[in-house]
Amino acid sequence: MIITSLLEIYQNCNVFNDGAFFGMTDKQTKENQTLFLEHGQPLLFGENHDKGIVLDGLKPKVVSMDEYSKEDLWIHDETDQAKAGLLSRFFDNDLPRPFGVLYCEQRECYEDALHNQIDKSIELKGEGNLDDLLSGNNSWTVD
Amino acid sequence: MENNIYTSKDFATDQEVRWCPGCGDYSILKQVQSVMPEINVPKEDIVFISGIGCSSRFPYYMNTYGMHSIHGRATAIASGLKASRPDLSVWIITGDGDSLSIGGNHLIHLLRRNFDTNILLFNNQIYGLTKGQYSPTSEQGKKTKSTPMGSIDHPFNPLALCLGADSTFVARTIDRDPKHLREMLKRSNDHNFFVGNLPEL
Repeated sequence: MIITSLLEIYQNCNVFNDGAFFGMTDKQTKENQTLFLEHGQPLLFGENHDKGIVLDGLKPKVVSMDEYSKEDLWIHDETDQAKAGLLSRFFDNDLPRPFGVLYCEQRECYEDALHNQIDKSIELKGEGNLDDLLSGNNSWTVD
Repeated sequence: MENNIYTSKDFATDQEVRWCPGCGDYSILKQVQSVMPEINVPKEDIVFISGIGCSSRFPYYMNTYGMHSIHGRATAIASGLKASRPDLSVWIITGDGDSLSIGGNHLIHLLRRNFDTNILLFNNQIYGLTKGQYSPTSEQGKKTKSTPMGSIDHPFNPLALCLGADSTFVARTIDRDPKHLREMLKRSNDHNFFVGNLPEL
């Protein structure tokens, strides 16, 4: 089981789009604008982790840790596709931007399936011959 | 092969790096070169494939095999390479313009098929190589040379798009946090690592 990995890297273009992500790296703002995900850990952010995320049904909500405990918070599970979808929508709204692994699953990769199928086909039908294939009976006539 | 027979310098080339001074691409290049010795793959079995754009100059600067290919088609070429040579470690270098505009179709099909490749999507929310036009990830209202009154396009949310295409690994990092960037690069490549049950708090 092998997987395609997709890593989005926010990258500053200091000539044509300087500062696009500075809010997420500047010391004054980054604590409140970023959320670093860790599998099995609660969604905490802000200065000294003074804020957390809870799920109100399917709606994420920012709460103060003065009023909530860690056990009340959304616990990150990178195998949960539905929650990964919600995390990916922490985007252009009042929620912090998540960094880290949002989602990870194991699924058979294409090249393994492809070569398994080729091997099986050879086992069933032999190596085959390209000339025989081209001169075979699966042809048609255009009138 | 033996562990860590390379250093990061083994992955640098003699090519002059032609990104603008101060570009975030330098940080990404440095971290990729530093992570390569740890993946324990012979250099001759590693391939970096890019499309077109600033980030797509990346293969010139990696002392591995590489292809600076066609706009938006790094994903398609990588798919073909993996189909014929599954043993190779294939890294796709692309940008927000390259992968999400002209290459959007190829990207989603690579993701749903789940080829064993690592895609590094450099998102700077602009077309830099062509000197500053709005890209598929530029925010609404963005004033650029091609949108003097502000962009009216609703931007792509890249990770939501990839999850929608049934991507099997989706992560985000940032150039100005080299420690996190390095950690995510290693995790992206670490095919054997997979979380099991949630640990208790």
